[in-house]
Amino acid sequence: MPDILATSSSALLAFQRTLSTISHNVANASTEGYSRQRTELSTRGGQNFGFGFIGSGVQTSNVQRLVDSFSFSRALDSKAEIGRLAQISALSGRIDTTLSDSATGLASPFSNFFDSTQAVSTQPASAASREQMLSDARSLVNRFRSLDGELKSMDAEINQRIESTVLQINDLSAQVAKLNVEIAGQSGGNGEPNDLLDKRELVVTQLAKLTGAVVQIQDDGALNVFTPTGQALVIGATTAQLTTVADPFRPERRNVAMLTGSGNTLPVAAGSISGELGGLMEFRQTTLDPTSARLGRIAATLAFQFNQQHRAGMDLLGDMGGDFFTPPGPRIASANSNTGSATLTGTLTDTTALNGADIELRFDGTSFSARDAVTGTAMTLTGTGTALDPFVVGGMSIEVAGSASAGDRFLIQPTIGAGGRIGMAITDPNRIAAALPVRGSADLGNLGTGSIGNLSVSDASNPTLRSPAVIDFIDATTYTIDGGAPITYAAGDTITANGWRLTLNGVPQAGDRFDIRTNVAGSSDNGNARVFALLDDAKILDSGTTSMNNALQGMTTAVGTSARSSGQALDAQTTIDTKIQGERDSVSGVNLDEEAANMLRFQQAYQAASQMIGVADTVFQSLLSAIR
Amino acid sequence: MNRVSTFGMQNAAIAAMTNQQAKIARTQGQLATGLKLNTAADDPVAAGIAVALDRAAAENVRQGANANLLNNRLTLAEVTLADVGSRVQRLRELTIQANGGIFNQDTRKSLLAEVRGQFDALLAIGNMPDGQGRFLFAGSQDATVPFLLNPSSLPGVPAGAASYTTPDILNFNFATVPAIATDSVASGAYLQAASTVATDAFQFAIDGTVVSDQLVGNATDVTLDADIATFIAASGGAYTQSGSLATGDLVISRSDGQDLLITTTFSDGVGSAAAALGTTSDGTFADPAFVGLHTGGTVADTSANRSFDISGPGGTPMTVLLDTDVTDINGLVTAIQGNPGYATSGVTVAASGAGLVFTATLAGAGAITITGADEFDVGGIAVAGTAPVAATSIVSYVGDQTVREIEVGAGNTIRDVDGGSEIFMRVGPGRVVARAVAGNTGTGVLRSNTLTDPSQFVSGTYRIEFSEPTPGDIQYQVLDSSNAPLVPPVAGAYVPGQAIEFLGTQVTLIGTPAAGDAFTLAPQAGKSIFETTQELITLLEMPDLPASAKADQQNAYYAMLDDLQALGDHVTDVRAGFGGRMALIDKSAEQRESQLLATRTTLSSLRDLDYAEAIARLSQETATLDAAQQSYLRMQSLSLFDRL
Repeated sequence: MPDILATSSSALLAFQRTLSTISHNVANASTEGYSRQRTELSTRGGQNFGFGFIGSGVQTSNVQRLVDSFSFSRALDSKAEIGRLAQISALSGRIDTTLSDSATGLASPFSNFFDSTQAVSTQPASAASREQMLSDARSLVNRFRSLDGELKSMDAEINQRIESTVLQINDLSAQVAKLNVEIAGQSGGNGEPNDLLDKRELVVTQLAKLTGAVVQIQDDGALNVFTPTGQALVIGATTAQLTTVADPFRPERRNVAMLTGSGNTLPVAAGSISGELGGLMEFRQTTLDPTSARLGRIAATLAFQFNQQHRAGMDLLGDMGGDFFTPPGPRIASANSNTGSATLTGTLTDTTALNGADIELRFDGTSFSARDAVTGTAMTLTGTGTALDPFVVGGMSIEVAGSASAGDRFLIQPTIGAGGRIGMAITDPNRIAAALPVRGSADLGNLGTGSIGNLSVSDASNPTLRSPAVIDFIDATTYTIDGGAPITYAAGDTITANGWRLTLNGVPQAGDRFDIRTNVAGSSDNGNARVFALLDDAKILDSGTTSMNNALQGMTTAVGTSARSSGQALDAQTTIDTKIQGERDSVSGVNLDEEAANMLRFQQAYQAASQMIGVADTVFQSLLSAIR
Repeated sequence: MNRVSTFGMQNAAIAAMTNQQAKIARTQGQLATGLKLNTAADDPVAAGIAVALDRAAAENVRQGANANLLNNRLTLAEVTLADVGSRVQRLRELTIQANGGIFNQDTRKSLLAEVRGQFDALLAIGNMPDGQGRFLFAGSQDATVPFLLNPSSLPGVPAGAASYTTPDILNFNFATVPAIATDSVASGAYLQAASTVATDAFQFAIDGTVVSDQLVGNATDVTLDADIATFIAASGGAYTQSGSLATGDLVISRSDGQDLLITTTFSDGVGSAAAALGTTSDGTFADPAFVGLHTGGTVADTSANRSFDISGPGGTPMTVLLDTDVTDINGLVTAIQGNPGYATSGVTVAASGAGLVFTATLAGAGAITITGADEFDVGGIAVAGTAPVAATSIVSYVGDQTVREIEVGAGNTIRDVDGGSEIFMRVGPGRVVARAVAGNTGTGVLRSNTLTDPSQFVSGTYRIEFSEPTPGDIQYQVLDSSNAPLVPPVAGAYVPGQAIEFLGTQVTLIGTPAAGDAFTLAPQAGKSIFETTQELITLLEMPDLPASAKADQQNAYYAMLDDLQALGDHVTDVRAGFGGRMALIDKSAEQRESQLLATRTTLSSLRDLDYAEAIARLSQETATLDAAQQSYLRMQSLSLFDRL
């Protein structure tokens, strides 16, 4: 009965192979990306003995890799999204933590500064309160700078990450291409190179996490990989090389580009890539720059408005106030592709129109036009760009020197980075201009009860502001100023001249005289400090609807929202990813219990087959001994 | 899913445990800080609102500190004014006492010392520090002493020490000197008199005693030396003299060291003429400028080298030397302008009526300063340099009227202490007062004057003149500012004690005015507390007058009591004003506190942790973690391979 022996030995062989597949599964139970395999068995054909067919055993037909190709492409999408969100969430969280912590945020030094200006307003001659105000101003300026520095270092870090990510992407693309070649070489015939396929899926998944990926399987088993917007990364055995190039306006900033066959670079827009790389670029554009702009807008507005008010006052030494802060001017860059000689200079002139957006100016050969550099929305540009009639756009006044060529572009950044450029303009506490530059008095010989009520400066630039002026009442309802034309007076009327304005308390009488004179050194007047101490609540932003306090509040909320929403999106995506992973595992994952059961099953089968060989031997021995 | 991978199951279990641990760490962090918002991401909108509320709370606290500082200053001012009020009341009592019958010229001197003391005390109060190294009543110029004694009008100040300071313009007042000048001089007085005009008459009195009364038209008629010598000899050692007019300087001293009261009266035959402080040594002046009285012990200058110094901001100080006699203002202007240093001094000078106006032409901190100005006189016209606001005042105010407004609540400001001039100088501006005209001969004495209807009153100086067409028939008539009878006329027979009413005012007189006597009724400019006190000193120093002149004294006391009454009212008003501001501060404190409470409550609800909830959450989370760990361990032991 040789048939039994042959049949049994075929079973032994088949079960051995099955057991080795099971042991391969068990061995790789914890291997990332591994798909469980199954040895497919089939019967060997039977032999016709006339009375019928007798089977001749079992054979191993294939080692099957158990995968679901749909779950793979879903996993790719999910990994890309997780890569993108993880970057945004981690980086936003860092900004949020920095701004939220009272030791590093802006809110507390900002509040302290205005509190100490209020203290100067209460005790304008106190050296201690003046010193405190300067010291708080320095702390505030330092905080602006350190926050801006923090944002700048994040920017630098993002540059490095982009560069290293691009290298990783190129490396992974190369691996995929190489695997494509190997797989194509080993495919065909019977069976596929299962473990190579797993490896390729793993590499593509890693690539998807960095860039986002769409895959296409080719007939020869090669896998083509594209970015979500369809730019090819790997086609068969060839790869597209990514690289980084300097931003046309901001040379310190790296952008992603694709190397073309001719050696040129083609910029890759932020929106066309997902994954970690996309997340980095998106964070830079949607969180980092706006935060820097919000911070810079507060710094620029504070410097502009505080300086403007400070210049309207008089300091303790009797001089008119100067700048209190060094104003952080806009940053203006020419595109590196410009061919004309034009250079632009600009200053902030209107905080109510300052919305923080970067402005791009373009010269079309005849005229300049402006647009929002990020959204591309056209902006209103007035003026002619000369010193007398500068371009006015977004609260900035821009002068053009030299001549531009058609196609030249300029980027104006009114606020981004401004937080790092604000400084202190004064170091002497006596230079804090707390007093009004003028003061008024009722003549002691007056018969009326009139006294100077609210005296304020309406035009600090009036050249005669500090000239002595006399208000003479011809009668109770008529006065002259410095002997000029008579002016009718009624109780409560505002009397104004030379850039100052005042009202009278009490009732003046004929012959009464009021003197307005320049204020002098050592004055403890708080007429100007009273005004600048309230600037934090003045509606001086967004067409006069927003105060600096509101802007600070807005910055906190915006940064918090960005961190929170990206964090929540990441949580959601992680859940989705877990589910996708579970679905993949349900098909491809190794279950050790299952393998153990299979092992027992095939072990028993193997033992049974061994027993069959024993039976065959016994049968054969019986036959031999019968002959003996 | 009917199939799970072992690896996936373990991963999931581990992820669940780490997740749970992250939650516990977060809750633990909240419990440790007591805050439910650790970063803005925890609740972005609430964090934004918290930023705004934090700022509002800080502002509120700062406004509270402002209010405290302001309250301290106002309290100090209010307490000080209470003191001023009691001093004014005391002055009133002293005035009433002095006016009582039991006091005479000598016994009134006992009151004088106290009044002088009050004067010094009031000046010290005006110059009171605020406890922060500044002066409380100086407006915004509170680094410098606000109230200065005007040296040229005060006895005993050495010549050449006077310094006149005003920010940029100084009226150098050459105003006509009063008809009767009385002045007290320090021990040691130099005096000399001369005139070349025959009709000039001269009366000289020491401490109220007329010593010499004569025509001085011819220098040889002057017997002042002899008259003074007689007086000194008769004083029994109370007064001493050295030198004589014949030899140059004559110095009279009181042996008890008290101030002398010198009264000089001059007339030029036309009407009352000038008597003035100053020196004259050459006697060459034309009528009516003919006399000087120097108040200072010694005279350093001769007519040949009288000088004074002017310095202005930014310019080079110059010394003006008057080598030749200057007899009028224009001459003085010419002399100053002719000075070599004039062009670079930074000061220009111009005549303005009876005064000089100095104007600074260069910028720079500082003021115009004139020193040594009382070392010379000009043709008998007294040189009195004062700041324009205090041209006639014994005390000048060099502070200003700027009042700080302090923020004690959002949009709520309260005024700080007013400038000193509004408290001590400008007392009752525009008050309509009745005063006796000097030289009345009758016994008509003012009893009261009131403004009953301000709406009817037309500002101006009105005179009530008396006449006696037939003996015993005393008639009065009210004249307006231009000495014309009022239309409709206010006139009639005078009845003592019956009010004379016109233009909404009532004036009551008692006694019997003589024909030609007159009383004026006019609004009076604000009068300083120092001026009033100084007038009281002068009044107390006034010698006993003969019965015929008693009415003058009575009217002077009436005026004094009237002024003191107004002063008392003014002090009360100012105190009430400060009290009102303090009440507003109290009110603002209530408002602030309730706002702060509301702000902090909201902040707390936004940011602070609900401990009960957080602890409950923590135990729930630890329980969940515990379960996850237990189940993981259980799962680990469930491998089929273990059972083989």
